[in-house]
Amino acid sequence: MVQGKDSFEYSISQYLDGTLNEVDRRALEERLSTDAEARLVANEYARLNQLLKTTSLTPSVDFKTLTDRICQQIEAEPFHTSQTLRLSRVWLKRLALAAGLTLLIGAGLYWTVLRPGLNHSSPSNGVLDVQVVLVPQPQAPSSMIIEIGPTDSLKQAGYTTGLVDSSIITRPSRIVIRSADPPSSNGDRLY
Amino acid sequence: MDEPKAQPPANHSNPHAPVDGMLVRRVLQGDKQAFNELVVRYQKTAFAVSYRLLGQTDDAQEVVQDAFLKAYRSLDGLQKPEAFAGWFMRIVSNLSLNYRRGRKTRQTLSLEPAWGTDPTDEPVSQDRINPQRVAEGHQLGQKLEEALNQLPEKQKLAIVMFTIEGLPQKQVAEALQCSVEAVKWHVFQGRKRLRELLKDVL
Repeated sequence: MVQGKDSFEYSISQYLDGTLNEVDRRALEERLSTDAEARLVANEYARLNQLLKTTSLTPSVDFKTLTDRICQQIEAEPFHTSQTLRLSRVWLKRLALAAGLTLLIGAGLYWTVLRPGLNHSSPSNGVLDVQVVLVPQPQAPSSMIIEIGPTDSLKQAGYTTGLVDSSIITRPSRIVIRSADPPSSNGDRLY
Repeated sequence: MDEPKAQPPANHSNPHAPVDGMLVRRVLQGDKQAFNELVVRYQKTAFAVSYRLLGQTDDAQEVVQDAFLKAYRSLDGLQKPEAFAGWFMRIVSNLSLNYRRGRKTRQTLSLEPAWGTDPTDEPVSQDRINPQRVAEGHQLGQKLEEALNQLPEKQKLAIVMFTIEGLPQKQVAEALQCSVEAVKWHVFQGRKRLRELLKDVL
C-alpha cells in the first residue's frame, strides 16, 4: 500500500506516463492547482522525464552496419521450417491429453458400472410388490397426509430409512392417504 | 506541468507496418526478410538496454548481434508471437548480464587492467574515460548517465525500456518477468532516486 508522500509522487509518475485513472488524475490536478509545493515536486518530475527522453544516453552507433552484420548471420542460418512441426507438436499434446482423459473416464465407467461381477439388478428391474386394498369411499376428507417410506413388511425385515439400500428409499413403496375422519373398520389406508 | 501524452509504441513509426506477431509468423514460415524487419525495429532499443548494462559500445553491439541470432534460433519456442519485443528484450538483458559476469572474470584474471584504470571499477566508469565519449558527452547527459548507473538493475531497465525507449509497459513486464504494476513501481522508484541524485540540475 502506497501512502502519504510516496502515494502523491507515485501518482505524478503515473500521470506523466498517462496511466493514471480518471478519478486520481482529477484529484491530482485539483491538488496541483492549489498546492504550490506539490506543483514544485511535479515540475521536477516532469523535467526529469523530459531530460530522460531528450538526452542522448547512448553513443552513436552505425545501425546500418549492425543491421547488415546481423542479417548476414541470419542468412547463414537454416530456414525456419518448423511451423508445421510446431503446430503438430501442439496438436499432438492436445490429442495426448484428450486420449488420456478418455481413458480415465472409460476406466472410471468400467470400474463403477460395467465391471463383471457387479450386481446390476435393482428394484427397478424387479416386480414391484404393490398391495392394493380397495376401501369404501369415505366422505370428502378435510385433510390428507401422504407418507412416504418402506412398507411395514420391509420394516419388519429390518429396513429402516437411512439403512436400506438407496434404491429402496428413493422408490416409495407405500403411500398413505389419511383422512381426518376416524378410520373405518376396514381402514382407510391405501397400500 | 504539461499534459502527459500517450507514448507511441516503440519503433512503430509506420502505422501500416506489420505487427510483431505477423512478422514472427512469417519468419516461422521461412521468410527471413521478416526477421530483418524485426532487427531494424528493435536493434536500437536492444542496443540501449545492453549498453546500459555493459557500458561499452562494442560489447553492447556484440550482445545485440548474439541476441538476434539466439532469438532467430529459438523463435519457435515463443509462445505468443505478439509478445516478441518483451521476449527479445529478456534475451538481450540476460545475455548482457552473462556477458558482464564473464567480462568481470576475465578482468580479474587479467594481469593488467584492460583500460588502465582500477579493475574493480564499474564497466561504465571505464567507458567514460573514452576520449570520444567524453568529447561527445554533454555535462548534463553525463550526470544523468552517472545517476542512472546508480539505480538497481530492475529500476534501471524499467526506466530505459519504458521511459527512454518507449516500449509498452506490458512488453517491459514480459522482459523483466514481472507484472505491469511492478513495472510502474520500478519506474517510479527509479524516477524518485534519479530526482534525488539530480536535485541540483532539475
